[in-house]
Amino acid sequence: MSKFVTKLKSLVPTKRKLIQLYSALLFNANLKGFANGKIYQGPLKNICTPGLNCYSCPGASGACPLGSLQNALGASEKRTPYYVVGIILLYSILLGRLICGFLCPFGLIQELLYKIKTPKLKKNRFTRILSYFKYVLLVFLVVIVPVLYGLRNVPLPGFCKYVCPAGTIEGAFGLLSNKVNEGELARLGPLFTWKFALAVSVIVGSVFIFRVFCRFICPLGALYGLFNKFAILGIKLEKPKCIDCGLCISKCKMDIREVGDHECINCGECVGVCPTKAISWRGGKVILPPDEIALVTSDMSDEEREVCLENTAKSNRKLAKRRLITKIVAAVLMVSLLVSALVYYNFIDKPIDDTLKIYGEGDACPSLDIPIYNGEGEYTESFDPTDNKGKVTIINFWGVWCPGCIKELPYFDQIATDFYGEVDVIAIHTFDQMEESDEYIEENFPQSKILFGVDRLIKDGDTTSGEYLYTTLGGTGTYPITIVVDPNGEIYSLQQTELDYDTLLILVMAAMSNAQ
Amino acid sequence: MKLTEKSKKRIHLGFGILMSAMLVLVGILFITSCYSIYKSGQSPFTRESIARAFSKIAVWVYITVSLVIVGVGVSIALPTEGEKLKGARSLTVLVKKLSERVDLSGADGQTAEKIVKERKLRSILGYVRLTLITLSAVLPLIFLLNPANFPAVSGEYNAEILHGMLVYLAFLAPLFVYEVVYVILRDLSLKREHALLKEALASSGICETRESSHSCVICKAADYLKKNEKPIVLGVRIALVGCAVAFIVMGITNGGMADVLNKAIKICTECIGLG
Repeated sequence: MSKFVTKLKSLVPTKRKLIQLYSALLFNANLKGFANGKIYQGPLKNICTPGLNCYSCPGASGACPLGSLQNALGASEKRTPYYVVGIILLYSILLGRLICGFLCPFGLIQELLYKIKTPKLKKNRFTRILSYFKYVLLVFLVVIVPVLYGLRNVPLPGFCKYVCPAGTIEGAFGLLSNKVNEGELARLGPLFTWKFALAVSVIVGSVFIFRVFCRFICPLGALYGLFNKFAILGIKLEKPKCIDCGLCISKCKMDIREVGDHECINCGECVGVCPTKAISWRGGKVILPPDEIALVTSDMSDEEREVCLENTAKSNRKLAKRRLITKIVAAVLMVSLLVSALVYYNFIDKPIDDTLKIYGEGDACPSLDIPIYNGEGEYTESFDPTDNKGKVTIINFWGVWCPGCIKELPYFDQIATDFYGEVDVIAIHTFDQMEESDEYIEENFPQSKILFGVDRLIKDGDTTSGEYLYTTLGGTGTYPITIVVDPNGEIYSLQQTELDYDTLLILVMAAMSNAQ
Repeated sequence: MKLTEKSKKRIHLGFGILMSAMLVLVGILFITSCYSIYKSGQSPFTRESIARAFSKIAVWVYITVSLVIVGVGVSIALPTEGEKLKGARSLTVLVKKLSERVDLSGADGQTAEKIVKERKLRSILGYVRLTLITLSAVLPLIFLLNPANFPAVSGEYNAEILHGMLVYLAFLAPLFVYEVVYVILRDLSLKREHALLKEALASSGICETRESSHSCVICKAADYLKKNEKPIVLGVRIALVGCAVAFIVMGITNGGMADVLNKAIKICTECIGLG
């Protein structure tokens, strides 16, 4: 019976689990996103969350530091990535891999999967060697690929694109599971098949191997691990007290050589097993000061001893009160932060304007008045698809930061040349990054027949909460999208996927055959 | 009927193996289903067509999920005693501790010679390792950071990156192989030295403390770092926090923060694997 009770007690979440659940909810506070299938697009998304949490996840309340780092490195030729580097450096020095142990939502997912009762593959000297693989991925996919391709004007976040299972599980699955994003299913191809297989492998692997992704794959953990010894908060080992019994190493499921090294996620499970109390929390004594010990010596008289004990008891009562107050204040702060986040993201943040008319396939294309680039740094002319009846109009929305967009633009250029006079191609880039977009156009399409335009606000609002041409033409936040308007001025097709020349050709021919 | 601890453990093991097999099976079924959907070429896919394809494996998923739920029940109903923790004493630490107590000059000449030989062997292995690490860190970087070593931009980045990754791994393969060999040889050597040290301890006197006989620059630097660990760490922390804050401020002013927002509010579908 007592064992049964102990077992039931062990099912009660630990403090660490509660903090992990708390941070998973805080970093995914945009719960309405799961219901409406849209990501949060408000101004708070310029803050990177500390853990690995894909910013394409409908619930994500902030940006992923790893994704942001890759994008910033890709654009480092134009802008030195101070901001992202600064944020990652700050997180690293404040918390180190404590983030992995307490704040990372993907770490929590893996730990919960590991709870499934199956035989486990324990750490050994070879998993320790394999744990260095994440550094290989960090160097190659997070640094070299984005920088190298960035120099060629191709934005390519290597790790996000080819590996990140958090992106697949939180971002892709999160978006695809909602009916609103059915159009995205058209994009499924070899890359998704690979990433799906990888994500499933990580999920299944997590059941048998503790934190399989964190130990062998995660470049963010590798990065934080480099600063683990210098982090202000974390686990510390007092070497003079250590008797090298190895109980801490034995208890730890990560590939550590010693407590607090670059593999240590500072989960604190070793604190309780240390027989000499050599392991403690760094900064813990400042935040929660421990009880004082009465300094009673043998040469003290009974009276002095009593006074000493009484004084110590008194100060310990004060310390206990202080600890309690600190804990209450921390709990109140944490709860208010979570409640504020939930209220802000789900009720205060401006939702998509329901009164905005969204045009789709079969609708007459509305008057749009698209600002067109004159090739000299200005958008002086304008284009309206309603004035283009008798011709096919292709409207493509793209961005310099989007690899798929960059890849398909030459096909649009080819169509514009091959069907000059019969088809007008308008490539509209995003409202921000005007300078980069203009530079890209001048550098790569100086003599193109494509009309390059810029997205614009069609309703009052700021750059993040306003509604754009993109939204009214069916854009849901994903890029690229292409709208084909037939010669009658009707929207013939809305493609929420990257297109190749043959598909474009088929669409153009079909739209042409629609002419009355 | 009261079950013994052994039979409880057997039940858990049997159940665990069954669950493992089911989980692996379901994982494989998911991957093959996804692959067959892609290979069927019925693009553009619809929710219905995908649901139809996945419904074929639904029964296995239900069985596995049920097993997981039953597993929770079994672990509550038949609790077992937790495993006793055994200290994972590192051989390196054991040998280090023991060697601090042994005075080699007082030990039997042959044993001392053998111990020195083992240490030499390990230092040679260590130097080779250091050289390989340096080479495998520098050479691939020289290769990969030279755009000329990548084929011209063809739009097919996937093939280029796979090629780059393979080249990188090819550079790292010797290091990986050597690391495995190194770990095995080092541990064997440590085991031999451990036995020899025990032998020497039995035959020789125990020295009070072992004075460091090293006076090379590295050892001096290590000693200095050890002695001044606290102020150095504090200095590094302050410097890094200062750097981080300065970087963030510079990033806000140079538009880096706006870039993060711009990227985070627009989904690049390729980046989340839709492609």
